[in-house]
Amino acid sequence: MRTRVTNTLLVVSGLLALGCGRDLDVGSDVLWSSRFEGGNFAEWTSAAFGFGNESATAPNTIEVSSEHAHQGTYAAKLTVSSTATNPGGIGSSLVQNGGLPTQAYYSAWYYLPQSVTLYYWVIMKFRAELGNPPTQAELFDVNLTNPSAGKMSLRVYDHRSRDLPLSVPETPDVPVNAWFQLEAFYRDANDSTGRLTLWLDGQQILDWQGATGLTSWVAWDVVSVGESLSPEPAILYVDDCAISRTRVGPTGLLAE
Amino acid sequence: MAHSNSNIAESALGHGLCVRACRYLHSCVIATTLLAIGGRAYAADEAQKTVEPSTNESSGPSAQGLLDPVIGESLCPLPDAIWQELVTLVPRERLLARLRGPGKANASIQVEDLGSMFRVSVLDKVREYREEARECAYRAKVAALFVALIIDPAALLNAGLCEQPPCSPAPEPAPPTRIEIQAPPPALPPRTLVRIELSPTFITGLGAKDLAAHWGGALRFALGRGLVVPVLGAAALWPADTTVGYLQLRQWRLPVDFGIRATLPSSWIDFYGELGFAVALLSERARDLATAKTQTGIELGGRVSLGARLARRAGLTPFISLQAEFFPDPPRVFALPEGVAGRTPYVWMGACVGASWGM
Repeated sequence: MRTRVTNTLLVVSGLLALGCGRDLDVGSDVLWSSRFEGGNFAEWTSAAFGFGNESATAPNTIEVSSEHAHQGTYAAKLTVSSTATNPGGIGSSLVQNGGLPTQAYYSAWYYLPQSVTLYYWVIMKFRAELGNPPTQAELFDVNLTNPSAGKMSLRVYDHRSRDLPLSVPETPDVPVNAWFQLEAFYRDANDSTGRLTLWLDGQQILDWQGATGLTSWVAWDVVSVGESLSPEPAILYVDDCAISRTRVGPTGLLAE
Repeated sequence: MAHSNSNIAESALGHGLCVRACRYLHSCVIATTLLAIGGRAYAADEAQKTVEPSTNESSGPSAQGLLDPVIGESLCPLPDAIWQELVTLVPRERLLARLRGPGKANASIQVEDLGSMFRVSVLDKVREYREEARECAYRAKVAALFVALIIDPAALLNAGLCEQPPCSPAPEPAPPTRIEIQAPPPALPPRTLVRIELSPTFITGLGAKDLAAHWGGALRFALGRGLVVPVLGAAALWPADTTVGYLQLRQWRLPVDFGIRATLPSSWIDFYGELGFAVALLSERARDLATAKTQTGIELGGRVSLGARLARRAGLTPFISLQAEFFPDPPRVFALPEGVAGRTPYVWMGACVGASWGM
């Protein structure tokens, strides 16, 4: 009798331990993420979508580093050098190329160890199929700017026309020596329903609508490509990249 | 003999023999009280089809045969109070001789408190009286008079009775009371040992933006004849759609509870309340995430319920109940990338309307 009672109590206790106080993880809206915690770029090259890779043309470099990390231990370290002239747009890049959803949120965390003077410095890029006949081409660039000594900021460039006007009255500050998040909502459409919205550390700084790509082909690049950067090499750390159906935001999680 | 005693009692209660009785009594008080009793009490069916004998085997013959002449778990009237009234009407020795005389089975006077009614049994005779005010002293007098009429009606009519102590002094005569003879209702059988309740049920969690309306069936068991009995219940519910924070979920629950039920009986409707522990198996599945998973957790908490049913002691009878379950630490619902969306409800409310089967 005592054994039976003991067994019953053990079963009940086990059930309660399994169920009580437990978070119910019901799923995820994150379609893909890269936290670099494997110490490599496997998350980029496993081709979650159409094609992905990491690349750097010498003397530029790209590596997984533990010098700075947004969460966990590792982040990607992208360096660019010899940028006095860079007409070919040579740099370091992480690419998700094709096969992306027609609309999604694209998030990445960046760390800029020091302010840099520059002519241009692209850190995020959307590409689409443009022209007649449609061919893969650059569409939007998110650039770092250096509005004044020691200050860094952002601008968004539309390769078809010009800079897109930001929706904030003052030029947003990009922090130096601190992690900041850039998150974009991109909807691919060849009519006025196309959209690009951009948040810097959760603050919306751009909301543009209009035709984007002519087909459903979309590419998203996290890059470090610049010209006339100083000092060199210009270093940029990248961590916790994600493509998701809902906003990640500054407090969002990519893993339990 | 018992039958003739009963007839005498009926006559005294119903047909004004009290007038003649008063000629023999020093006071009319007892007779007029009998009239009042006859006006207020329902006489139970004296046919002993469903009544158990009132013998008390356990009391056994004591040295004096005096142990527990009045028994029963009654708070109103108390057995002792009946005895105190009874010995003012019938000499104690005569009472004991009738109850436990030589060659007779030991018998006791039984009394049961039925809420707005009470039941008196003696020598295979049973009466139920309605007395909703629960005046316990009055009940004791009525019970004593009934017993006296059954045991020794002649004692009441004996003119010399009240000359002996401990008879009470004669009070002022009560005003005439209109006598209404009512058809005797059938005697109520004892409470059921097992009660099973089956019903459709509706349960919803409070606090969610979209109330999750769970429909299903509920089954409950109450065990025991007392007014406070253990109770066990469970419900099988259909899944329902709800929201927790930003998440749209498909929710499924299997609640189980155990506790106690306290019943307040009355002549038409038995009201009851329940208090106990509640355990629920809770399953959630996201409806609109890119990657959805089903997760199951357990809720632990308390439960209260109020109900009512028609006061039939056995067989099927309808009932209705309302319930509330409280969970101090309900599971949190989590999804990437936004994290914890919120908790499942702290409070669940429910209602049942169904059939209760007493056995």
